[in-house]
Amino acid sequence: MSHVGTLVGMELRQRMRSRGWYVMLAVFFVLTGLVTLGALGLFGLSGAGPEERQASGRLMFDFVAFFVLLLSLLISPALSANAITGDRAGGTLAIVQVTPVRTWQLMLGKWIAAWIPSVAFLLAALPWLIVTLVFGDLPVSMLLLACLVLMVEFAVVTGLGVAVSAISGRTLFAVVVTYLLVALLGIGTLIGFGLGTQFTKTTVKANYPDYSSTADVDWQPGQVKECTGRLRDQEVSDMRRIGWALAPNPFVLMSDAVAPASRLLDERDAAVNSLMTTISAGTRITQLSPEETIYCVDGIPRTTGEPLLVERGGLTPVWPLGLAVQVGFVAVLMVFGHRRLNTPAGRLPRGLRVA
Amino acid sequence: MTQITSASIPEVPQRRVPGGIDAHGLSRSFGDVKAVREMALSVPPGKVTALVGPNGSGKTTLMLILATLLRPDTGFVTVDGIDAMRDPQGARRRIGWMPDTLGVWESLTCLEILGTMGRLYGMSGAEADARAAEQLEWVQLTEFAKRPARVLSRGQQQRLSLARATVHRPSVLLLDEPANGLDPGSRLRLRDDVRQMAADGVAVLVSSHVLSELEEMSDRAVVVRDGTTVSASELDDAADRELRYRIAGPENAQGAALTRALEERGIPYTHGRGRQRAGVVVAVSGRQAAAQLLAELVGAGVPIAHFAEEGSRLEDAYLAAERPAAQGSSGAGTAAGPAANAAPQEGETA
Repeated sequence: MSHVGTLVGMELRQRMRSRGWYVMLAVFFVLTGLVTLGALGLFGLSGAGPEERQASGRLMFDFVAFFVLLLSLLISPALSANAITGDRAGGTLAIVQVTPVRTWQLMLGKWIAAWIPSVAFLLAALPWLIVTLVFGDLPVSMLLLACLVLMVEFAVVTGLGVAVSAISGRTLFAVVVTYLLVALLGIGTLIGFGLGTQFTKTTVKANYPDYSSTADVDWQPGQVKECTGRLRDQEVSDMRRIGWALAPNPFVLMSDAVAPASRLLDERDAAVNSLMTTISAGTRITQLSPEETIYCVDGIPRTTGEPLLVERGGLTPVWPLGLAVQVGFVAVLMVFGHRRLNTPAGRLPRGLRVA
Repeated sequence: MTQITSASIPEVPQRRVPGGIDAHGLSRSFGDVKAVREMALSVPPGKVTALVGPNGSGKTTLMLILATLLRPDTGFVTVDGIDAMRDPQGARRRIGWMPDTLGVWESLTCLEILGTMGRLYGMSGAEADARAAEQLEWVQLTEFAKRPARVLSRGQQQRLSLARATVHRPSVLLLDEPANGLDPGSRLRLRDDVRQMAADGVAVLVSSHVLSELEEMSDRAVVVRDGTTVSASELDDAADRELRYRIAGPENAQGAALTRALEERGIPYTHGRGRQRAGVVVAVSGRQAAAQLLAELVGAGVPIAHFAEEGSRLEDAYLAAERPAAQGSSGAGTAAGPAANAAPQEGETA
């Protein structure tokens, strides 16, 4: 393990001496600050009362946390994908490889050395997250959870970067591939889910809801009064078969892990519609059968129009699945990278030199 | 070059009997290209072995295999008796490797680079830092200890690289084209450093395609060509070894006197390589014979301005190794070697 520490120390020393890294950190701090202050300013302009402050604070916290996550996803590949290709190009990789350092120690050292600077970005964003936390009078646990998720996501993305860097021969290739893998997690999961719904069609018999109107005595928004019309075959997607595809999405993962299942959610105030709760609930809904999500299956009206956000707590969290998929993804690439990087090197890809 | 033997051999770990490098049957292909074929090589401790051969002859591939970076398709390598492919970690503790590409961590200081390397070889922090300072002093870079490696000149980087390769007191040292791009002063320093390592009992393998570079520091020569070892020979100073001497008069016009004197004595001569150079080349058996020839010529009143060994032992080994290969191939000889060894009587005066 001391070898890993030595390698990490060497990497961090080099990092600390590059000016670009401080510039990036400063830009990160300023950008996050602008977003936070901008959101606060908008709230001030909206002239909302203090009773809406908590809800707005919640929304703002979600927004800033998402922004930090977005920037981390953009920065981490840059911090990690040149870890090994850069050394290869500079001729320093082989010099380390001829020492008794083992390949996994080298990769682990590079990974940790890429992860630690990522955490510095989190520290740069922390003051602004605290501002929104205080503004919205939110529980500290939310902040801690959000930071934890951010650190884990940093580790996942830098892990992808280091693994790709070990596999690839060129820095540019490694950076691009890492960004594509991040895009796969961030956007590919959404596209996959969207396409998947087309292949999970199933048919239920249902007729049509007749919503209650404001003229009714017991009016509630979105409530179905009765089901009318003939029962027809309706094509719906059985989300249970494809909903898992959303789990590895970093934003879904963060939402699902961070959004509190507190009383706040049971109340029909704006807080219910905060970003993270909405995304988390939206993902967990996919665990329900079509019968539970269609209004008038077999002509029976569902009691409430919008019960699902409230029911979120009753559904299985998806973040453990998402995390498992991400970790598995990193692990597979790491194993492949290890095989590619290990010396004495067996088969080499075309154009790759060990030194 | 005479073998330096020092009574006290400091800081070299005890070795098992088959010390140094022993390699047999090494082959390695890259796709369709067979870079190394059935190569055999031994690098004994206490000696400097020159690895010579033209560009693309497989020198670097061989070096990478010996440095445990490449796995040969066939064959085996032992380092101090340790199977380098089965136990690369064990072999790596004994090998120092200086690649032809001098990789340096540009933003790290010389002290940090060497200190880090020492730690990677398992030294404690204090031990590694002390060793780093010691190594910097050895390669005379102490004044750059706290400066980033990027400020070093090529020669200084190369010395740092040598200090880096030997930070763990290896018993085997692999130097790949070490004098590439060095100025003459740095080259002389390198020679002295390498000789010192060998004197301390280290098995040194130096590769180059520049023969003059290796000539002064090597005890042995291994010649490779087309990925295979064509010869391995001791560069000894045997007294009766056939030597070639270039003899020239003070002026070209008087060369006639020299050639006449040689012809009278029935001594064959050529013009050797390099037609622009004055004088003729004769073969003599050993230095004693050379001295006699010189005395005789001077005694006969032939004006002599230049009387010196032509070529080098390494060049001889290289050319001797090249001849069979040149005969085997149908194309024209690549080097001037065969021409130099053509019929001794060309009958052409300078």
